[in-house]
Amino acid sequence: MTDDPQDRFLDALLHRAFSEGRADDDHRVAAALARIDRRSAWPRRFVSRALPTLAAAGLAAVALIFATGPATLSAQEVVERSMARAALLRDRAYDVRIETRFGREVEGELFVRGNERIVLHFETPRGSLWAGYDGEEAWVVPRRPRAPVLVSSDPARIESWLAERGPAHPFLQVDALLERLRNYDLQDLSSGQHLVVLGQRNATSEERGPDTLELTARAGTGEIESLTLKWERRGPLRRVELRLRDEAPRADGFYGHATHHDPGRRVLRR
Amino acid sequence: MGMKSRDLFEILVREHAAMLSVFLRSAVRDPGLADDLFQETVVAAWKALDRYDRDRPFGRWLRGIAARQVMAARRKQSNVPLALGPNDIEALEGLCHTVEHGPGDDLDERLELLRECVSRLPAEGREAIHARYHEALRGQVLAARLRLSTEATRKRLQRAREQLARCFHGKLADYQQELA
Repeated sequence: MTDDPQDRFLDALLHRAFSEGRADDDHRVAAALARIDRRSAWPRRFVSRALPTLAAAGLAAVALIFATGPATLSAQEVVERSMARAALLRDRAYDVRIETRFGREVEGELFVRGNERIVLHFETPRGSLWAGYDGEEAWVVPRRPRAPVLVSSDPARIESWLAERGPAHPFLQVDALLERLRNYDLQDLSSGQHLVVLGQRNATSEERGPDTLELTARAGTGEIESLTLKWERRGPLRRVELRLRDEAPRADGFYGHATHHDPGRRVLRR
Repeated sequence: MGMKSRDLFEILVREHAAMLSVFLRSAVRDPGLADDLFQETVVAAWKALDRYDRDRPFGRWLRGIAARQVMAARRKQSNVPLALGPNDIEALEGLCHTVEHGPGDDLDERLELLRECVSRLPAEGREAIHARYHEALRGQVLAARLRLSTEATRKRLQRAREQLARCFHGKLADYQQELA
């Protein structure tokens, strides 16, 4: 694609002619009008007062964490315990929230079975995007219903396929995120029923990794309750948050692509 | 602003939403960012509705706001993937204006001309356009589908789009001449 206006324009018209339609417009307009209606319904005074209140609540929570005494486990031990726990072949579902550098917020879901099965789901105005690995094959079900499902025996392909779809849909692997903490400066912020470790980048950390990575886990088991990654100035992302939603068992087929698209959809194997 | 303004605004926005999307998608590289800017534009237009001059075409006014949103995004974040500079965005508005005055009641009807042009492309160009825009393939997957290198794929698509631009704008010009 060149930067010639005519070429860019034609590219956009072709997308419109072959991939988009009035339903896409309806989604976009509805989202924008919902914002307008929300703003109209909220008196300005409420918004300006509510924000400092929320900020104060956040500060109080941070103060409480720091006021609590040191935990028995070291920060490194908390990470190791959570890694071991995450590797158990149990099904877990996490709610995912992503904030891009520009302020776009994307919500999704991450389903895992240990470190061996994974399904990522993002619901967007352009449709549902599913990606996963079922232990044998990596796959992506693109948002456009006419686009073929992409399948590969190389698990690494999933990351590049998602990268092609923009920064708002990163490939998230719990074990890889925890692994990163090994090269971060760790601080134990544990309190009561929760183990909390804050990791901060140092000279040995991965170049594109987040500036801070916060792990919260259950005190008894090390089961991950949340992971929060933050980037201060670099890269396309500002924040990624995973929060444990449930530990309900899922059928084996859930981790394959066929569960997540119409049976007649074309499948391309690479 | 009363309920009537809100309803009228919604009707006008819906009428011009397709061309606004095309405008923004042309101006920035990331489709997600184009969606964000669509929202920002509509919200900004609603706030500025009191200042809208009813003698001006609404679509053009809306895209003027969109152009300012694009530049504002660029100022806020220097790595915003902007495809076009300020002068190019003006040229883009000219292209939108030309298409808006083509045959048909809305953009989707006018795009029938473009679909006709695609059907007249040589087979290899038609295959490339179909795989890229209908099947939404890209990158290496698209290249593998076309049995070409990534660079050859890029060139084939580029050539096909150039042919389509000539055909499409030729059809629009013919229509204008018929009207005259």
